[in-house]
This record gives sequence, C-alpha cells and structure tokens, in this order.
Amino acid sequence: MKRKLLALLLAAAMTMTALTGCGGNQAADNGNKNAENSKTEENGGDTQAKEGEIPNLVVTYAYLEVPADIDAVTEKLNEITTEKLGCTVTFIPYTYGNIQDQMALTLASPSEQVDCMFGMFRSGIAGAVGKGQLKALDGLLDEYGQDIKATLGDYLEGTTVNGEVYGVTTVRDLAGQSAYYFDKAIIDELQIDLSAVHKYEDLTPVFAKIKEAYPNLYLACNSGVKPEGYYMSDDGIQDPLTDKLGVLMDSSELKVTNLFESQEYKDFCKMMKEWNDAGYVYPDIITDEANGGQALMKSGVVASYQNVYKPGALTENELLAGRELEVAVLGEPISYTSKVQNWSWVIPENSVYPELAMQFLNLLYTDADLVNLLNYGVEGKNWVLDADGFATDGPDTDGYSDKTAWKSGNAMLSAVWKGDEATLYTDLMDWNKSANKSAALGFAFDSANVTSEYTALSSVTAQYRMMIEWGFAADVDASIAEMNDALYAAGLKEYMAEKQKQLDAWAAAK
Amino acid sequence: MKRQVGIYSVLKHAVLWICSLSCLIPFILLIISSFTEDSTIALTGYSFFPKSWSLDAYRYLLGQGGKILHAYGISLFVTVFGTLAGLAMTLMLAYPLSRPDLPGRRIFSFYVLFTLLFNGGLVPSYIMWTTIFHIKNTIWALVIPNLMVKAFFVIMARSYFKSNIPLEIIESARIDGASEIGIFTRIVLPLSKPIVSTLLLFIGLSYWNDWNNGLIYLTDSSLYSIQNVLNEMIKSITSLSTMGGSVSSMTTLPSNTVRMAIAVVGTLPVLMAYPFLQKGFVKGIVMGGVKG
Amino acid sequence: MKKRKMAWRYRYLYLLMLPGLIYLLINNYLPMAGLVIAFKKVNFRTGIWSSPWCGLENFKYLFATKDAWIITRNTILYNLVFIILGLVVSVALAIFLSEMRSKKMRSLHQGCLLIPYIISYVVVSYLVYAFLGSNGLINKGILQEMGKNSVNWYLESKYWPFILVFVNTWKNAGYASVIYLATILGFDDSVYEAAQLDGVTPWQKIRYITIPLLKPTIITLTMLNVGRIFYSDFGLFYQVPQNSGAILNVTNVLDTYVYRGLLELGDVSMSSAAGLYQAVVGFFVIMAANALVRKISPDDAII
Repeated sequence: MKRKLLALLLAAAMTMTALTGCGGNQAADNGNKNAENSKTEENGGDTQAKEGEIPNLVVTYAYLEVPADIDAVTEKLNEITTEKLGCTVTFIPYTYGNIQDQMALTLASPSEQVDCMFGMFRSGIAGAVGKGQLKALDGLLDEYGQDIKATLGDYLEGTTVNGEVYGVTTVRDLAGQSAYYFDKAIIDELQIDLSAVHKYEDLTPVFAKIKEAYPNLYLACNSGVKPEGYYMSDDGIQDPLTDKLGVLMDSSELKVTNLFESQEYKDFCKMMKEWNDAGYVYPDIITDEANGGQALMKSGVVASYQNVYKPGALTENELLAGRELEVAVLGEPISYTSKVQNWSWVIPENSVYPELAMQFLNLLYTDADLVNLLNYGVEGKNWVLDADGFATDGPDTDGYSDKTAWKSGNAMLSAVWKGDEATLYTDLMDWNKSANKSAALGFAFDSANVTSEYTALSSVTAQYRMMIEWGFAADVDASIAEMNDALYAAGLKEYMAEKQKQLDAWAAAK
Repeated sequence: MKRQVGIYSVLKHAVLWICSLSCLIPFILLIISSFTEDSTIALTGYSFFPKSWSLDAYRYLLGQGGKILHAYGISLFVTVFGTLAGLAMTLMLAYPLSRPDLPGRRIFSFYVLFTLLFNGGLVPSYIMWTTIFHIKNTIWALVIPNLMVKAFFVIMARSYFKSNIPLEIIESARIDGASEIGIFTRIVLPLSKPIVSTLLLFIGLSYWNDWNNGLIYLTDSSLYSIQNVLNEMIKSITSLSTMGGSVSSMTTLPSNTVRMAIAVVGTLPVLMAYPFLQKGFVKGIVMGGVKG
Repeated sequence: MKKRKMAWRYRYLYLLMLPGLIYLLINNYLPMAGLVIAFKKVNFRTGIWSSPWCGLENFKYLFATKDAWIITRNTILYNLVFIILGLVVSVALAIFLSEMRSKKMRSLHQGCLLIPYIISYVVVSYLVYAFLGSNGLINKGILQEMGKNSVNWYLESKYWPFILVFVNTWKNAGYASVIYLATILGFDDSVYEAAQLDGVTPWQKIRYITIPLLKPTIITLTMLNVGRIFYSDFGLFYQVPQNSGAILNVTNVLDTYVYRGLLELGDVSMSSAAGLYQAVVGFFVIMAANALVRKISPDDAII
C-alpha cells in the first residue's frame, strides 16, 4: 500500500512536471514564432498573422470598477483596431482591486497570452524585468513606435532598465508636487493670504489662525488612505529612489543617503509634533481607513488637507470635497523614476504578437478616437461633445463611470471634460516639462539582491514612520534615533550600498 | 444538590445570554450605522442612537441595481451546488477512514492530513487550473478550486463517525448481508444528522463567504459572486481617494456607511435563510439516505 | 496475497473514497510540484523548471530581521492562547447549548453565536474601530461620561494582546462550539438517562460523562489547530489593529511580516518559501503531537 501511494505521488509530480514543462516550452515556442515573424517582417512581410487568420490581441486595462458598458466599448475598440491594424482585440478589464493579483498571476503563467498590459508597478518595473516577465521594447519602438517616442521624449528614459526600454508611460502628471487644499469659505472669511505659503513651515501660522477661529476643525491630514506622513517632493529636490530607503537628498547629485538621519527629516517631524500638540493633526489619521482628506472636508471634520498638485488638480479636488477650495502649492515639481513607472504600458514576455502590440500602443498616442473611447466610453452614449468642444455627460453616462484621461496613453489627444480648463492637457505637459528632473531619472533600482534586507526594513518603517511623521511620538529625537538604529540593524547600510552600486553602474553605462 | 442544580442553571443561562448578546450587539451597531448619515459618523463617530438617519448607503447600492441581484443568483448557485457536491465527497471520504478495520486506513488518513498543512501556493495552483482545466472566467472557477473537500472537514467527520457510530451496528448489518454502500446510506447517514447539518453549515458558509477564487480566476465581472461584487466596491472606495480622478457618480459616495451596508447585504440573507435551508436539506439528505 | 484479498473485500469502501481522494490529488497534490520555486531564482523567460537553483536563499528573509524572535514568539503564544481559550469557551458553550430544553432557544442562541463568524475580518475591523477610535463608543460613550481621559487605543501596545484574544474568541468560539454540539447531540441518550436516575449533579455529569465522551473530538480538533501553530489569521493581526505601527511589537506575526515585506516586491519564490516554512514546522509539531497521543491513548491518534 505504501509503495502504491508513493507511486501515485510520483506520478502526480511527474504529470505536473510534464505539464508545466509543456507550458514553458510553449512559451518558448511562441518566442521562436515571434522571432521568425520578425524575420519575415524584415523581409518585407506584412504582419505576423498566419495565413487567412486574423490575429487577436489580448489587452488588459485598469478601472476603478468594471464599467457596465464594457461590451459596447470592446466592440467599438474592435472596430477601430480592425480598421487601423487589421486585428481583433480581447479586452480584459482589471480593477484597482484585483490588478495586483491578476498581474502577478498572468505574468507568472507561462502560456497565458497577454500582448499589451496597462500595469501598476508600485515599486518599479525592474523587478518584473529581472524575472524575465517583460519584453524589451527598443527595437519595436524604433520600428512601430515613432509617435510614442515623439510624444514622451525624455520620459522614455524613466522606464528604462539596464539601458533598454521596457515600458511606455502615459501622458499624465509625471512629476510630484505637494499642496494643501483649504476650504475657500474659511480662507475668505479669515482673510488669509495663501500666496505667501511656499513651504510646510509657512502653513503653521495659517493653521494657527484657523484653529483659533474654529477650534473644532482639524487641519493636517492627507488625501490617501494610509497616508504618507512625509512627502518627499515638497521641496522639489529630493528623489526617493522608489522606496525612501536610501534617497538622493539633492537630486542633482548621485549620492545615496539615509533620509531618516537628515536634518530636513528631523525638522519636518518636529514641526509635525508641534502641529499635533497644537491639535492641528486629525487624531485618527493613522487608523481611519474610510475617510481621505476630501471626505473629511465634506463632512466638516477638517478645514484643509494635503494632496498632490498638478494642473487641473483643484477642480478634481473640489468635486470630491464638495465645496470650493483654495490651494497652497508647496515647493516645486520634481520628476523621478517611480513617478514615471508607477503606471506603464508593457508588453509581457507571454505576448504572441509583440509587433502588433506595439502598433496598438502607438495608436494610443496618435488616434484620438481610441483615446477618447478608453477615457470616456462610447461617444453619443456615455459622453457627447458639446458646442464648445468639451466632453460632457451623454444619455448613459453611468454606463462608463470611470472617466479619467490619465490612463489611456496620450491625454493631449483627449477631449477635455467640461469644467476643466480647455488647455488642461497642454498645461499638464508644460508642467511636466517645467519640473526639475532628478539626475537619477531613469534609474530603476532592482532589490533582487537585497530582498531579505528589504523585508526587514519594511517591518521597521511600518513600526515607526507613521508615528513619527504625524507627530504622535512623545520624543521625536529619541524615536528617530531608535528607528535609525533599527534600520541599520535590519541592514540599511547594505541596502544603500547596493543602491549606490547599481546607481553608479547605471550612471557609468549612460 | 438542588441548590447546585439551581446555581448551575442560572450560570448556564447567564453565560449563554452574555455571549449571545455580545455577538448580536456589534451586528446591531453594524445595521444601525448602515442607516446613519455619512457625515454624522465622520463628525461624531459611531452610535447606537445616531443624530440623523439616512438611506443614502442603500440608495447607492440600489443604484448598482441589477449587478447585485445577478451576483446573488451566482452566489446561490455556487453555494448550493458546491455545498452538495462537497458534502457528499467529504462524507464518502470520511466514513471509510473512520472504520478501524479498513486496510490502509492510516496511509489514507495521512494523505488527507498532509493537505491540511502543505499546499503548492497560489501560482502553481493558478497555472494548473487555468492551463490544464481552463476554468478561468467560467462559473466552475467559483465552485471547484480549494473549497470542495477540505482536510479539516474530512477529519472532523471522521472523528464524528468514530465516536458516534458503534461498530457493533455495522458488524451486525454486515452479518445480515447488507453491502458496504448500503450500510453507509441506510445506517450510518441516518445516525449522522448532527454532523451532516454541521458540515452543511460549514461548507455552505465557506462557499458563500469566499471571494478569493473570484479574485484569482475571474476577470469577467458578469460571473462575480456577491462577495466579489461587494469586495470590489470596498476596494474601489478605498482606491478612489488615492487614485483621484473626476468620477461623477462616485463623488456622492457615503464611504463610511456604504461599507456597513455592504456587510449587511452580504450577511443578512444567510442569517435569515439559514434556519429554513438547514432544516430542509438535512431532512432531505438523511431521509434520502434512508430510502435509497 | 492475503492482504490483497482483504483489500478486495473493502473495494466498495475504497470506491466511496475515490472522488475525494482524486479531488485532493488534483487540487492539493499536483500544485505541490510548484513548491520547487521556493528553491529557485525564477526567471519566467526561461521557465520555472530551467531557472537556476538558489538553495535556501529565498528563506533567508524570514530570519534576517532582528524581530524574528518577536514575530515567532507572537505567532506561537497567540496561537497557544487561542487554542486553549477557544477550547474552553467553545466546549462550555456546546455543553450549555446541548442542555437547552427548548429547541427554539437553542437555535436562537446558536444563530447569535455564529454571527461573528459570518462577518469578514474587514468588517470586524470597522466594528472594532467603531468602539476604539478616538470618536469611538468606548472613548465617547464610556470614558468621557465617567470623566476620564480618552485612550488612544491604536497607539498603546499594552491593551492589544487582550483585544486580539477577545476578538479571536468572539469571532471563532461560536463556530467551534457547533462542532462540539454536533458530537454531543450524536451521543446515545441512554447514557444520560442512566445518569439522571443515579442523581448526579450537573457538574458531575459534565465531568464524568460529557467530557470523556467528547475527548476524541477535542483531541482531534486541538491537534488540527496545533498543526497550524505557525499560521495566523492575517485579518486579525493586520486589519483589526489597522496596521498601526505603534503596536507592532504585539501584533506582528509571521503572516503580517511576510505580507509587509512582499507587498511591493510581489516575489513568488519568497512567498512560497514562507508557506513551506510554516507547513514544515506545522508538520513536525503535528507529528510529534500525534506520536504523543498514540502513546497515551492510541485510539485518539489522528493518523
């Protein structure tokens, strides 16, 4: 009996080996096929479609929630691609809720075809590149992606790993800048001049004035759920190098230092401590999961909150906060790698039609119909163009409720939603261009060699950062020192050394 | 002696009532807060006696309309089908394992127990189910992986059979010429009403409450179970404030109360339907066994 | 030869087991081949099988933190408390429930006790927050009324061992009591009737009749729980404390450590390694427990 069982298990293992082995081979086959295809391409061949067969691209996209009219949109999408590219499209909508799991699984599954993926890469694309999950795009870009290159320009640097481009970012806010949004009624009533506010410190007297008039209102909180206490970008100089564990305090210089030991960090945390002691900080900031700054403002809990700034942000925030706002923009915008890589179009290794995939991506940068379709849904149904040339609610607006222009590709081609400035997207592009560019823009840190340090460090930052950065620690200096001790014990030195090493190598190769 | 009985009885009832109330009261708070005005919660916190009531949360859910109803249908099918199949397989596996005379019993027990501890992890399972069995974006994705037969339930059932089915009964039935399958359906099952109803409850709950399979194996939202729909809503509420964007229909979202309403919508039907379902099912299965 | 004949006699019993065994083979055993990725530096371009081996590299991070000791301590101690307290509470509830004369009352209580189990941990975390938040029922409704200072619950680690133990028991005791109740209800009534005639007190009845009869079930369930001593409910330890850093020293367990570490990395090999580590420890613990039980009371061993 025992032997039987063993045989059974062995058989199981072997089946599995065979099966996954097959999968691997299949992917390899696909790879070969592609190689052959590109060969025929060079020989003047048309597309990689087999004779008489219309190729089908698999494209994944991301939504807040899957739109009700997804089928209508897919149909329209197919009309466009059939006409322009001669292919059909299987359109797979991920949601912000499942995108992380779905990406991890499909990229790990050897025989699952995905040709274009709009991916979320919160810690950069270097990890996926290191695991061999993404295709290098340089050749494809040269051949089929000229419009992408023309639109994105330098920003393609931002999705480069080891000298090769692996992703195509979208036209959106590609830089970071911090701002505080205030309830306009209160600002007007107390006659506060926000134009003098340029730094976090400048906010203290403003807060004091509001707190005096409205002792029940809180002032310091931010828009995110589980908010960042310390915003790197507020002074427009620092580059967080993805994870803030080893940063460039001065982004014009490629020198990795420990943010948490810097004077800037200490000063910031001390200021937060003062704010907290003065009752400015929303007391549930660390634990309240339901309410971001906008919701708290709407319910009348806070008079101001922190959020990122970009052209058009004020309108966006007013909509969510349900009232007129006034903004105090802090520091200068800065562009760094993770801002650019955060969301990018990629062509996974499992792609069957990489050339077509690149043509599709290029279409996202040239075809206004396609861009508008992905942004607002089906024209005439989910949205209409009004007399002034703005996009506005159609007969069935809610059928495509997730109306945003930052995901699809080249937002400059997009119609502007009514209520925004007509020049919104050119302003955005100008703002992007005006941003300071970190000297390390394009450097993507790959933590593969220091993963165990990284996990240990994450544990330490989870324990200390929020407490210190929102001013809940009793003794700021002592807590910061304690955190730094814990960070070094967890291997921060080795981690930063690895970062510096990769950064130097990257700079040398450039 | 009488006094002891008295004390015991008082204590017993007191403990039960305290426990039951402590389970019930938070649930009542859940229901009340789902009917509270959203800004009241943000401003003054949760309360059993809120200052202002509101139906906004349910209005929002109702606005999602057909989606939720459709998802209830999917959940119902998946739960009923999965539970019945899973229950049958679990009992059929557990009973022979409980027989001390079965050759190879320990090896098979080990085979079952081993799966309680070891698993291949998410990625290998995903690759197997999607590339070999092609269940991605089919209803079977919600029914088959992970939930049907769980080692824990098998061992639980085995332990019941072991301690509650006297071996002598089985022996004498065998002497009377009953087949093994006949013994199982006509003698063992009817004696197993309590464990059958318990397993029904447990397996049923694990199906009803599951959203993991949907998260992994579904991207087609028309197949979402109610838990997937609700889960996605909760997640989109949380991402809304981080991602931003001018989302017209979302701007009026009562985020505190909707989460509570979602929980009510997900759990209340189970609580209401359970007693009736349980009665009918258990009767059906046990009696069916007797007749068959 | 003789053995084979024996097995043939039981062919129908094997047949009964077959669907379940096949299901477990497919659902649980086949994917186990994928555990090799715990020992590999995976490159998906070359495929899982041709990726290079990397020994125990993927396990390193589990021990790299100086908190490894705290995390292990938390995981094991909480589980031990959960097992013991859960056992006492759920057995007591089951016994009390079984003695309810009115069937209606019994199912009413049972229904109430099951409510927490049906609510997901995400929602439980909202409820806990409703009580403990700075605007919560305890601060506003009790402490303020009594004229005391409000407590910042999510920043004070001294309260959390109790809160977590309470929440866990609250959520799971009802569920576990259903199992014991089923077993008690399945007992032969004649035993109790005899006792009734002999005039034993309720305590004696519990001590000398119910508990001994319940012993096999108690042992089985406890052993299954012991096997999961290295696992912990992510929802309980991450969502209920709202991921608050200040109380991490009493809320950090293996699962939350792994989650925090891999959230951004999303490394399949490393998460696979964590799972394997938990399983191997659980395996040895359960085997040791089984050997012990086999020595003391062979009938109750689970294997």
